[in-house]
Amino acid sequence: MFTDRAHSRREFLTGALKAVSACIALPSIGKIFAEEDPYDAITVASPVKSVIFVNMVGGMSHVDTLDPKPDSAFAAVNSSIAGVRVCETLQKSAAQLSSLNLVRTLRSEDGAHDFGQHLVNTGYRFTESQGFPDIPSLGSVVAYASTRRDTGAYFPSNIIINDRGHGGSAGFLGVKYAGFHISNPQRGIQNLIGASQLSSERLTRREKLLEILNEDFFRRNNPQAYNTWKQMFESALSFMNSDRLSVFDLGLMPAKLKASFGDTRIGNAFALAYRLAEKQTPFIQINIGGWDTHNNNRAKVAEICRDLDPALATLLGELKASGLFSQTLFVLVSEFGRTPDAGGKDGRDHYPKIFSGLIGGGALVKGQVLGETDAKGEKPLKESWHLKEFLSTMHRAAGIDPEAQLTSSTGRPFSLSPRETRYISELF
Amino acid sequence: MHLVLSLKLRSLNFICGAMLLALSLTTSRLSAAHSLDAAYGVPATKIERADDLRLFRRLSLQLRGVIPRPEETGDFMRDRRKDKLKIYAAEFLRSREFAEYWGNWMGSLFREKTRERNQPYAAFDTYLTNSLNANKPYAQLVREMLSASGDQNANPAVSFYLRDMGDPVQIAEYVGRVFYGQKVTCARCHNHPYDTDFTQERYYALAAFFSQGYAVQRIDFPEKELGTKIPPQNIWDRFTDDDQKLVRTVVQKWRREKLSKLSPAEKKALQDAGRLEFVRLDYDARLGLRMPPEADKPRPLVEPVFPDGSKPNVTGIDRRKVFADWLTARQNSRFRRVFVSRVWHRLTGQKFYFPFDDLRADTKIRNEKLLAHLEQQFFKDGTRIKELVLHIVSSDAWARKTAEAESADDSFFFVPVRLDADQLFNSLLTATQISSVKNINERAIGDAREIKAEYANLAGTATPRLPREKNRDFAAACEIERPAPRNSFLSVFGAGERNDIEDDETEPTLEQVLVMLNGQLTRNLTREATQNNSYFEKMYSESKGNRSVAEAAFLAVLTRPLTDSEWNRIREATEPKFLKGSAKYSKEYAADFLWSLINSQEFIHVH
Repeated sequence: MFTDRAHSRREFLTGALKAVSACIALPSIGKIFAEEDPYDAITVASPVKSVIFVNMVGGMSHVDTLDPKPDSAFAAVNSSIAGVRVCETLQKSAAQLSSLNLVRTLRSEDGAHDFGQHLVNTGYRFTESQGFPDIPSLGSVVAYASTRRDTGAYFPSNIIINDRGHGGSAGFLGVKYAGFHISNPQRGIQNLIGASQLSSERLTRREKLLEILNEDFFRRNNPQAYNTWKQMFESALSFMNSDRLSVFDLGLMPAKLKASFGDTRIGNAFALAYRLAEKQTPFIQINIGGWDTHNNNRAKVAEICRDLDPALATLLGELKASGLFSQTLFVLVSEFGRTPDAGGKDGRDHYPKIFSGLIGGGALVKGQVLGETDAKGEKPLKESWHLKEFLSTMHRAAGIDPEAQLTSSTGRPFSLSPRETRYISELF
Repeated sequence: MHLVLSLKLRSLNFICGAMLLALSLTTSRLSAAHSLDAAYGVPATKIERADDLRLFRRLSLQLRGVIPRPEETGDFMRDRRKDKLKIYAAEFLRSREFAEYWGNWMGSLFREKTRERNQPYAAFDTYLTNSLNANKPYAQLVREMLSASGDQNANPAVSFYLRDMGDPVQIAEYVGRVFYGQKVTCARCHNHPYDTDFTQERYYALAAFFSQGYAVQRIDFPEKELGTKIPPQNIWDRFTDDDQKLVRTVVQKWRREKLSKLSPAEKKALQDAGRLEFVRLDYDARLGLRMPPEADKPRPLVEPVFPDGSKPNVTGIDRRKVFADWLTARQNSRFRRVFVSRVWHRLTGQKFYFPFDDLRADTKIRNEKLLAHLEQQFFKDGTRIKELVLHIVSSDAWARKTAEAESADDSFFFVPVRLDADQLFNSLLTATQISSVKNINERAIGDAREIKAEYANLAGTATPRLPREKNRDFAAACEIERPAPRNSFLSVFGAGERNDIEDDETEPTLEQVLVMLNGQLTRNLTREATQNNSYFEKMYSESKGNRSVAEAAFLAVLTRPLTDSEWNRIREATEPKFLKGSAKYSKEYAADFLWSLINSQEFIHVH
């Protein structure tokens, strides 16, 4: 019944209804249904094992990066997609563009950072999700859907590199799928090896003492209230004992490759993302801030891209060379663009009317450019797609049925993508 | 003669104040006679108070951001006074730790950043912390900030405006959200999608109140040379068309007749003279605000309108003062309700409504009767924050215990919450008794200026500590600059970026657990605290037994005595051979013991 085939909403609901009535009529069959893999209900066929999600926080100026115009602060360069140019700020990455697809006419209504980032991280407009106080982020949904692949000791399936604070909330899915934040990739495993310097006798003593203290405390106090921290604790211990920790050690990377990513925060973040993708970590998010260039647009964009360009180019190059692209989905997006016509000022304001995004890998097509903007980069010439549709595409490409539903903490069915959101079929 | 009289008056004032406090302490009993409990609505029989020692810990954490010191715990346990909790509450409110901890909270409310370009280090933090310490009325604080001009050395309250560099549109957003609970960010760019009363024009009408101030970092048009004060060119569009022409004419004349005649060296000298060491906020009554141009045509200046839609009279008066008066007026209870809601949440975990910065016409208030009571009490107490806190923490509602069984109804039970970043940092230091061994307090001398204690007798009795530039020793979280460095302990535990109102994160993460188990701070503290000649080693030496170490550790870390049964179980489980009386002090054992205590559920939560 719940196969890997993509199915429409109506079919799903009638299927569910059948399951319920079957449960009532024949308890033994109901038991079989209860043992069905819950992830089948929300997944579709996809070769993707890893999603690398680059979140440009603050509103990335589209005319200064992916959609050059006469008013851009930078000159344009050719890319590896015929007839398509990007700004010189991304000239190294331009050579890798043909592995991806460029969407130049994304649009949104949300021009404020908090609403915008909420949309980027959950696929929902804040105003549309107000009936759900704790909806999960995209990453935690992907992590949840990959659970059946998860064997052995705990290892985070949802990792966020740089800038803790954006994304990562697992909402009603539970803290197990919450984003694991790594603020400094160079010291990612710093706090995992601390205990290994102690003798096993001391470690045992510590564990025992802690056990006694907590057990005793819970005898006198309602353990439910402390569950969140307790769950975290158990996951942490499991994580510490994991033999997959070496993935965090950037020192194990060949020196030349590491240098090519660049020894910068962004460079390290991309390098770590690559290593995690090699290990098929389901969701890897990189947050890059600093894009909110109301002032000093030119200098700030140049500064970010100075570190971003080599890192991005190297990542895309490596994914291609190693063949990992067929199982890795790459997404780059921001909450909105910036005003193309700055009136001569060296600063651009928020511009959700039109902006750019990149998506590629997995079973998606390659080298496509969707949408064209007008001479200034202010309006779409023909088609445009809502950011929701772009993110829904990410779901679909990652192997998640955007129309599937989960049960939220209040018992209401929660649709993974907002109602009536189509994904961009041209990309498949 | 006058001096004697004024001295007598002052001491009389003090005595009266002390008497008033004593009076309020005795008349306000720990039962349903507390007006808050009457308004709370839950019958007194249904609320069970937590035991005193538990409440003492909760009080210390919530008011001072730190667990009690073991000697304080000892004193409290021996204290026989019936109203000792309220007495301690008043003491805590007078302590510098209150100003430090709540000062940091106010900082997060106003997105305060310790290190701002072209601003004195920790200027805003200093202002907020000192104001709290002195028990300055909240309404006064807000009025000071909203009508401030100049630079922070002359007038530290101007930090509020300088946080957004005087930008009226930015300021309007935060003024609306922080003081009025009105979140209308969307209306900056277009009419509000569902609050149909609030159009873009209304947004700009609010911003118009703040359009006459402007930030200046460099004087381009020297007043002496031009004979009049002229703002930077980039805000000339805030003038009326006529005033713009006027200003332009004056500047052009000056450029033509004077500036062009200067040598390059003279020009440079003029430029250098115009550079200000610190940015400041200047004021010009002629300025206003225009909405964004329509089809490239500039629009007229917008008339200011209050958030409730009424129109002010601003002719000839500083608009900001008009706004401040309206906001803090007696009739405007909303201003007090919004603030009281935040404070109530901090102390009880309950929300009257949420989010705090988005109070709408259709927002359902949880327990309207109580909110009204608190707002009125706050007004009666002259909007003094310490009085409000004292009022709340002396109620039974605040003192409710945590649930034993499955029930999680927070009307009856206090829901435990993990220590926040500041509380955790401070408590770790206290728990491991590091400061008393290394005399850290002596190194941490604050640089806050002296304040005159004029705001009732809950005014602070000690100078609060503040961040110091280039400082590398930290005795308390208040000395760490904000936003907290990204890799710092505070940041791991959620200390916000100060980009948005109250942006500290409270959700627990895996990384936090790992830091508590294996992090640098834990390792260093447990090692340092248990070295030879440490506090814990002294405990052992004085009694030749590990039991004393355990007792001292329980008191210091968990704020309670060790029970016999607990000790028996601990001793049984950990190497009985090792713990026989003749054994030497083992710093490894003490460190392990301390480590388990600070990683225990009991330590890491407020309950």
